[in-house]
Parts: sequence; C-alpha cells; structure tokens
Amino acid sequence: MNLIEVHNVSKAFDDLVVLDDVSLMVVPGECVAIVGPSGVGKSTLLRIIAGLETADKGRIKINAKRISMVFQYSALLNSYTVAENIALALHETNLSHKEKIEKAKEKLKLVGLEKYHDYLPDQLSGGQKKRVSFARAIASEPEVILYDEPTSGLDPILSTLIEDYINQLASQFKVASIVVTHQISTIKRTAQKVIMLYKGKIVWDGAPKEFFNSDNPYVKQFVSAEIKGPMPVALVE
Amino acid sequence: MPPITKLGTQPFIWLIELGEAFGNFLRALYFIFTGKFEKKEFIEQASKFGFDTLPVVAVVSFFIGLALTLQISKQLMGIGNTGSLGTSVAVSIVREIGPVVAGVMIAARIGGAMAAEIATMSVTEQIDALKIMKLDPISFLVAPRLLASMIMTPLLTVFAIYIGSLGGMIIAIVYVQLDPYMFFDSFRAVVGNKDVIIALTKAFVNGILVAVLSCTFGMETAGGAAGVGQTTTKSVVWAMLGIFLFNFLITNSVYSVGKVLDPAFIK
Ligand SMILES: Nc1ncnc2c1ncn2[C@@H]1O[C@H](COP(=O)(O)OP(=O)(O)OP(=O)(O)O)[C@@H](O)[C@H]1O
Ligand SMILES: [Mg+2]
Repeated sequence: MNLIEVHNVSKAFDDLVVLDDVSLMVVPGECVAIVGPSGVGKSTLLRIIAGLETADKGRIKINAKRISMVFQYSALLNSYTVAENIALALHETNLSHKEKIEKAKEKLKLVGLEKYHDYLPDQLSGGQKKRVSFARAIASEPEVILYDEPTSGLDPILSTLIEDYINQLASQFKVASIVVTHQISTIKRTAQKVIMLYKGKIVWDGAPKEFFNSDNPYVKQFVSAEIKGPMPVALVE
Repeated sequence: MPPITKLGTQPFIWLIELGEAFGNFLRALYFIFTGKFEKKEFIEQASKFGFDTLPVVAVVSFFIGLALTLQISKQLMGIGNTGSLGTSVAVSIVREIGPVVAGVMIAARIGGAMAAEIATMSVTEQIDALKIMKLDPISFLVAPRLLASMIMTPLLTVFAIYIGSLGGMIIAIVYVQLDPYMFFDSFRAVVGNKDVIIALTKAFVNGILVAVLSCTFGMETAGGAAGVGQTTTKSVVWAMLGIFLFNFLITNSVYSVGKVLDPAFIK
C-alpha cells in the first residue's frame, strides 16, 4: 500500500507553469528524494502534498492519519518558545501541558538543543531553527513526513545526525518520507529513490547509485554542477 | 490584467473579502462559544490591548473633551445659556465622541499591530505550520483576538468617555467658571441607560470590526515584507471606514427606532 500517492498533478501561478503532470508514490518505510534546480517547484510540490496549496489538476491521496513537514525556512511560531513550539505539535495527545513540555525537551535533546528550550525562535541561528523544526515535525510521531531541505544550513556532522534520524524513522517506524534536498550526502544516505524535476516534469527517476552515474544530460549537469548544459542559468546565457 | 479591467473587478474582490471576513467572524464566534480557543493567546492579547491603548486613548479623548467643550461653551455663552453645557457635552461625548475616538485609536494601535503580526505569520509559513499540526488558525489566532477585542474595546470606550468628560469639566470650571456640581448635574440628568447601551453597542461593534478585518487581511497576505506593510495599512483604513459607517448606522437606527418606541427619547 502506498502512504503517499500523487496522481498527475499540475500547478501554475498565473502564466508560470510550475508542475506539469507529476506523479509519484511512496510506500511505508521508503524515502524519496526530490532534486532539481532552484525555483523548479520542489517546495510547491511538497506544499500541495501537504494540502497547503491546491493543485490545478490531478489528485493527492495520503493514506495516513498524521502527516508533518519540515519547512524550508523552519516556520516556527515567533511568539512561542522553542519547547512550546514542539509542544504544540502534541496538542492531539492526552498529555498535560507539563508532560508535553517534558516530551518537547526530549525531542530537543535529540537535536542537541535541550539548553535552548526556553529561547524564542528569533534568538536562534538558522541551523538551530532548522533543527527545532525537525524536532517539531517528528514529535507527533507521524506516519508521513515531508522534509524541505532538512539539512540546509547545517554543518556536515549535524547533517549526518539528521540523516540518521530520517533513516531511523523509516526503518523503525515505517515512516514514508519525501526529502527535498540539494545535498549529495542526504541523497546518498537517506533515499531509496531519486526524482529529478525540471520545467515542471520529472526528467529522471531511479536509485541513488544510478543517479550519480547517470548519462541523462540533466542529471549529469546537476551532479557535476556544471554551469553549461541543458539547464541554462540566467547569468551565463 | 490591464488596469481598466482591474478597476472593474476590484469591487468583486472587496465583496469576496468582506464575505470571507464575515465567515471568519462566524467561525471565530463558534469557537468562542464552544470554548475551543487558545486561552493563552487570549490573555496575552487582552493585556496587550490595555497596555498599548490606554495611554493614547487617554490623551486623545482628553484633548477632544477640552476642544469640544470649549467650542460648545462659546456657542452657549453667546446665547447666555451655559447652564445646559453639561447636557450638550454629555450627549456628544457619550453617544458619539467616546466610541468613535476609542474605536479609531484601537484600529490604529491594535488593528495595525494585529494585522502586521498575522501577516508576518502568513508570509513566513507559520500559519501553514499551524494547519499541518491540525491547529485551526481561526480557533488558535482569530478567536482569542476577537474575544479580547470584544471585551477590551467597550472597557476602553468607557474609559475614553470618562477622560473626555474630565476634559470637558476642566473647561467648564476654568473657562466658563461653572460650578462643577452644576456641570455634572446636567451631565447626569441627560445620560441614561439608553446612552450607555448605545455607547457600548458601538464599542462592541468596533471591537469586532478591528479584530475580524485585521485577522482576515493578515491571513490572506502574500508577498513578503512589502505585503505585510500593505496589509497593515489596508486593515487600519478599512477598520476606520467600518467604524465611521457603523457609528452612523447605529446612531441613525437608534433615532428612528427610538422615535417609534419613545417620542420623549430624543431630547
Ligand atoms: N505563492 C506563489 N505565487 C506565485 N508564484 C509562486 C508562489 N510560490 C511559488 N511560486 C513560483 O513557483 C516557482 C517554484 O517555487 P518553489 O518554491 O516551489 O521552488 P523550489 O524548487 O522549492 O526552489 P528552491 O530550491 O529555491 O527552494 C518559483 O518560480 C516561484 O516564483
Ligand atoms: Mg524550495
């Protein structure tokens, strides 16, 4: 059974076609990486899957009760402390406020931020916010997690830590996840499948191993980080 | 879209937005009555309301009380009838000036801040984060703000009326050399329960307008920091327009209904 089903989704903002007939499925315990140049519609696709944006065409099916998301820019509530932010994700549980805060602190410990539990988001660095956002996303023990660049802004060691959690959630709790990332290590270490988006279409999909050795011109340019190739960059045109 | 077409569709966009505001109002009311709203937000908002607006409301209503009484006393001195100064000042301050001044100051001070706060939450995806955690923004953000506004606006309006009347009394004593007892006797003689009810009704409506418009426009904001600025201005302007419009409508309907029920009502 698929936990996430995306059927033929299209989306345009005014005249700008962002997604054009995109389909993908994710089974329990699977992690799919979505890659592609900046502005290609990766965040938009995640937002559509999360139900935060509506598709113009196509259908989304989530066969799970709990779904959560790590936002690209963290999206922590400004007027709540770090621990309260995580506690909010537990509002559907029967825990008392105190127990929720305790549980939030446990989650903070996982990402090395237990000392910061009563800080406000504005007092944190970008990478710290990202880690809190991660802790918040996993707190409610969701069956589906959408990660929008979970390791951007983190040093390589912290990236490994987060990647390990993503794997652990997948193997231990059979979480289905989609990871949008630009980071080679994240693709290599977490994903079972890679999907490359360009001009609204899936231009390549396959296993991570094949991704790094692919002959596909788009994938080749992306992996080798060449400026010249089938995906022109405005600056050098 | 060419500008002229845009001009043609604008009224429809306004209608849709007002419809949305009304929908949000009803849903927020539902959450208030069922008690399903964020209490912590309510307490914070209510106290912020008081702290932020008390000083401005005091200063503005005091000076308006001074100016208004000065103006009226000039007229009354001309016809040698300063004895009814209290009456005239009372009617205008309690029924009109108090509610409008408090409402406008709240729209500027609280409405603007509320709109900016919620708009910022929109453009930084904080509202999306609430939605994905299955926290309804209406029960989490709008309901507590609406309740705070519905309670605090009438309180601040009563406060504005007192301070405005104090200003009036100072002019009556210092400038017209009226006996303060005489001023307040005529003041009290004319202000009845009905006036208090009119003032509080207006204040209540003002409170609803400010909270509902600010929250609705805030939640619809897109386009980064520039969008936040636009939303703030828009919310303040619309709330003020609403306040003036409803102030007139309420005064008008009170007079027309009052005439039917109690001819002696309009003195
Ligand atoms: N609300 C919106 N209104 C109009 N255009 C939008 C909106 N959201 C996104 N877009 C446009 O859609 C395109 C895709 O945006 P999206 O954020 O999905 O890209 P992305 O692949 O996540 O990029 P990045 O890697 O830089 O995060 C962009 O060109 C952007 O301008
Ligand atoms: Mg993105």
